[in-house]
Amino acid sequence: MSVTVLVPSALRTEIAGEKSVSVDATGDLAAVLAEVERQWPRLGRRLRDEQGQLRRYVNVYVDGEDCRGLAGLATPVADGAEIQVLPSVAGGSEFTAADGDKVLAANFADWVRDLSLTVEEVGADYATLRLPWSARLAREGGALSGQALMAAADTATVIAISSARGGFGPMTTVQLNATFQRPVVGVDVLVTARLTKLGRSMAFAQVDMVAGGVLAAQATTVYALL
Amino acid sequence: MSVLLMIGTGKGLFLARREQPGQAWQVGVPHFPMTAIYAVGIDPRPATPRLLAAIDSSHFGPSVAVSDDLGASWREPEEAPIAFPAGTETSLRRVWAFAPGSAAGDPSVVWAGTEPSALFKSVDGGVSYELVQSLWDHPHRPQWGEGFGGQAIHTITPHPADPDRVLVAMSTGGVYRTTDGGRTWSATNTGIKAYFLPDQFPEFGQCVHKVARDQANPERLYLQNHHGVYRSDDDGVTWTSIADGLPSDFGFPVVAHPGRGDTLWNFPLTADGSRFAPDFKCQVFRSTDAGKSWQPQSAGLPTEPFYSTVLRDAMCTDTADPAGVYFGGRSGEVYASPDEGESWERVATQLPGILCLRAVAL
Repeated sequence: MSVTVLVPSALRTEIAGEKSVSVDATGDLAAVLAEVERQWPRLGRRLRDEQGQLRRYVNVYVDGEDCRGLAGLATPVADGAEIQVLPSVAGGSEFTAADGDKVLAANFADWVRDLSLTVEEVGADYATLRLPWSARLAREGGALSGQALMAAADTATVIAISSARGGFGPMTTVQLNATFQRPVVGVDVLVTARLTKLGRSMAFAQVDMVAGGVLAAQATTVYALL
Repeated sequence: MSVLLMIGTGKGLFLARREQPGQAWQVGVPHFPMTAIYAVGIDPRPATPRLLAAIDSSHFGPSVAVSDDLGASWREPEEAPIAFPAGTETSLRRVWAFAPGSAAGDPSVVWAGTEPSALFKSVDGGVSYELVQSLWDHPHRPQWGEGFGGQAIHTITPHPADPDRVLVAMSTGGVYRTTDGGRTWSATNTGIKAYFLPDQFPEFGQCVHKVARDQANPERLYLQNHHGVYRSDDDGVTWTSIADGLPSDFGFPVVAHPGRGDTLWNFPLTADGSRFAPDFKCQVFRSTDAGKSWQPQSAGLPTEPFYSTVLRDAMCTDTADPAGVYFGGRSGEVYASPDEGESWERVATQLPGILCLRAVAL
């Protein structure tokens, strides 16, 4: 039985710079990590302490699900599974807001960059972007246009996924549903995309858009990871 | 003569070099960035001194790295250098102290002190370590407590002439010593106050902050307590106060002269409940008569109000004569004196908070 273990950039020196390793192990997550430790002891001991416990600020996802929400180290691991190791934000995310701004600058269409979005905060499973108020984004009647909010929600999802994966990778929007609940006039909007599931090929997010401390709009997004 | 200063901070290890007294300090970029370096060590016994660094990643746990080329390159073993054995059901939280073994003993011995409070011994020069089971099994251990910084053995002072004698100190717990090479350990806190306990002079349980051994008369030790500064003249069995000449008996570090007897430094803070230098003045205190009298030293130190804290390992001497003295604050500034505290200069500013310093003359 073979499973893939995705290794965060901070630990790739332990596996000669590779992004992932394949290990033969059967059973549960503990068995997979024990095999990782057997082959790459230094990588193994950075994930678990000497009594075999997962380190507090190391998160491990089994096929996109946080093992702590499943059965922990006893979580069953199927043949072909993908194990993703991610450092928790509690100890300092390796993907920073500044990294998010670089992704914004490098990967979006000109008119999206013209929204002047900035990354306020990123974490292991979320990103918060600021959409600054601009009269140019207002529709007839003076309120912020829904199109701008949808673009911001879509963009925030890309940053959240990049943060969760430790960097930007190719992806494309599959679906975006938005509800507009209150008009936004004259204030910035904070757009927080929170991943509800990050799998191998798909990512799902809920996006809250808050203006002046109240919820203005919500969206759900689905992305295909290419 | 060149001096190498190891600066352990909350965000990595910085190495500073000064080639000649009077020349500027050169401070490099951080090694092990984004890890907290709570302990550094310099083993002077190899031809090129070996540097030791305790690396503490908030994500990926603690480890130990060594360098045999003065910090140009570092190596870390595959297996965990310091790990609690299976039967202890305990995991290493942090390495707090390194100490090269007795100069009269096996030159490959290096000691390490950890959180939770435990002593580890290396017989390969500090690359890998094993738990000293005899101290771990001490009947007092369940009653050892923890101070604000956590429960740790932070001080290890081997006797330079007798490798069978080692003194350790922990917070809380106090001083323990062995005279039989580590087979048995005794609490030796006679005279040290624990003002925070109903019995203020218990057998053990004191919150000792740091102990330094007199290098000319190794039976003599100096101790900075959680309120109280003490001296022992019997290799750490009994202790008497030497705090009278100080503005305060609170503080964290105490360091002894690397060669000359009866000379030591500390950095007093006003009190447990007021962890500021007295009168907010940045000054160290030196005694040259084993603590009978103390003199402030501040020439060249900042004259602005000083609100920083000097932690227990953030003060050290080098191995030169006259001795260099060093200290650093949680505000990220490091100061050095090339002349035993008579004059001071700033080595670095705006570093992350300083956790520990060690220096060696090359």
